[in-house]
Amino acid sequence: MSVASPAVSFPTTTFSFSCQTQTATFGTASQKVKIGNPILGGVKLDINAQTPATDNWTDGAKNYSYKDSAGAGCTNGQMTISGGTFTQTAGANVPTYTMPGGAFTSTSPVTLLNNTSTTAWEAELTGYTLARRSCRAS
Amino acid sequence: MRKRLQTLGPLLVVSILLFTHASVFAQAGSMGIAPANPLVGNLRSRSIFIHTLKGGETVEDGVRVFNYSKEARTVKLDAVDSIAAVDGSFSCKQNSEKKTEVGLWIRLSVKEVVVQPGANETVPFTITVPKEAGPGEHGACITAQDTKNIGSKSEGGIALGFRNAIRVAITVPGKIVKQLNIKNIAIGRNDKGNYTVSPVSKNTGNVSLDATSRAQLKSIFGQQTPVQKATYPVMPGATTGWAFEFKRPFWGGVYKAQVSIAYDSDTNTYIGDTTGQERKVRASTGYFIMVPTWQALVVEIAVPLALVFILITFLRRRRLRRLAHKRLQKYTVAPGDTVMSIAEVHGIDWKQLAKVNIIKAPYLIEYGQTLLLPQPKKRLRHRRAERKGSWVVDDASPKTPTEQPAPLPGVPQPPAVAPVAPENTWQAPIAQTQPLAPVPQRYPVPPHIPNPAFPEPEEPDFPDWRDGASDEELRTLGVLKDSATMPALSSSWNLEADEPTSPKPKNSTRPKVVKRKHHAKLRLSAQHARSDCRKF
Repeated sequence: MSVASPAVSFPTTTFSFSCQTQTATFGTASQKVKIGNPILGGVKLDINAQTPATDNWTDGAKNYSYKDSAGAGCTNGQMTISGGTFTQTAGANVPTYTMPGGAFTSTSPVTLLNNTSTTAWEAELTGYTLARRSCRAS
Repeated sequence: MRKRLQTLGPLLVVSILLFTHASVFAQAGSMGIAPANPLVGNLRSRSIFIHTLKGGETVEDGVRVFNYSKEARTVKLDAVDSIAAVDGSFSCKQNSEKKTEVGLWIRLSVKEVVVQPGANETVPFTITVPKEAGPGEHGACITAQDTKNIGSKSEGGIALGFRNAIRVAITVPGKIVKQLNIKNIAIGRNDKGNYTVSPVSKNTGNVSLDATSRAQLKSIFGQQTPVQKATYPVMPGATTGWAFEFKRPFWGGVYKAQVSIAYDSDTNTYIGDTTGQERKVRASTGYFIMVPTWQALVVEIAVPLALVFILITFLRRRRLRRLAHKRLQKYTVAPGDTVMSIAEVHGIDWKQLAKVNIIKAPYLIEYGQTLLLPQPKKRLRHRRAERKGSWVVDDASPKTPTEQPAPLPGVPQPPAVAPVAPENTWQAPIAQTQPLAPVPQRYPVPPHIPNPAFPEPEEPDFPDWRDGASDEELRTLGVLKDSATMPALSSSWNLEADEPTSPKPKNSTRPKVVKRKHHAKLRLSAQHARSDCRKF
């Protein structure tokens, strides 16, 4: 049985001359991110565009950025990642971790999980919110 | 112009970087990678590549690729430059980005390897440090990605790709600077309502530091929360931090955050080595308010409000009592007055009269004493002519004179007294066209009418002890037994007749015996008055 490639879908939006935000969920119940730290150490999970310098959205006529913070992200487009739930599935001790998230402002990746625990554990990550700012219509 | 945004075509394709900087291996998509040749005695080298190389030196190393799936995997390998993530932590550039730094120092023997299911393959690589490389730490990453995990652009959103990466730390010896400062401490609240303390530190040195950060909250009264600790690497030149979460205290309070960050300050040691030479930097915030839980908030608001309400009510009642005392009529006790008689005359309850004037049993009052007359609970209009025994309830009905009760047989009737406009009726003043007739300041004392039903006992005539009592009188009083005879009293003041005394001087002043007849009369009058009341 084949498994579909993981993907995150944003809803289509009819917009006018205003800045709108579309949201999608990364790590749904059917597409959980499984992560583990089987040996004493830490694990870090980052997310970035495959080609950070040039990747963007397009409606066929105009391209919109994902990492432009101008105009609170409304000028050219910006994506923000926030939230997320860490559900430990294995391991005796609760690991020390943070889930910073953040907004793309440059070619730098955004950290989804940062763990420095020295104990073995496994967990599932779900419920990250990907918020994409729609740009003003030209 | 309304336009429908279509998320079509070459959209954002995101790759997930599963990156390990301290664990033994990285695993994603049923595959993993790990250093093939860890350093002896350095546990960190089991998770990341650690090398100390001079300029121009070359070292050989290898990366092991694991396949945990049930089918053969084709894995793409690459070396890329490091980059700081948005939060300042260590991260790796994408494979599509051009190598400009340490990524160029690493050369993999192969870029792609096929790993059989359940097996692993070691891929050698070399690290060559340029001669002009400056002292300090230089970072890079070795990445491994299953070719099946490379996402493709799709409609309606983003496709996800997964890859693994291992940190490569290359330290060029020379002037090593280990310096870390705390820039600020951010206080915030997360979605769960708890407070986060995020110390932000900057590595101003040229090597990475494994910083052990500790955070604690301290209340204004000295209470402290448990210390929270985390150890994380801070890259040279990077500003990064850690968010510590503190549960919101039930009662809230005023707290400040205290933070300390410790790191190994020995410049001769590198990643994974500790000598115990620790340097600690400290910082704290000012006091801030931690909001209590809603349950505590209810108590903290309700209790003071209740106390304030009680205090206001107490003060208000006291003020009303004082005002009431000022408005109360005053009455001066005349001879023959009793508590009961005064209450009857003024149409008030004798118990209330006693309570207001704090007169306790046996309810004795003195001539000339000033009493406060409380307002009657029921308006009873007392007419002097009706003081003999009838009362009229003051209601809306027209006033009609009531019948006088039948006088007691054999009881002499007091002279008729002309009705006098009652003074203390406590009614709202009515506009008068003619001046009111003057009224006496106090009511005359009603005459004492003996009640034949309760004959007054005769007051015993106590003999003057100075005159000496006869034997018969003594026997009557029960002092002498039958045949005993009281020895005669000496005419002298000194009753001890055995001792010779000087004769009593003439014209001496003898102490007077004050007979408390008035006291007894008052007591009997009270009893008599109570008996009259029982008729009604």
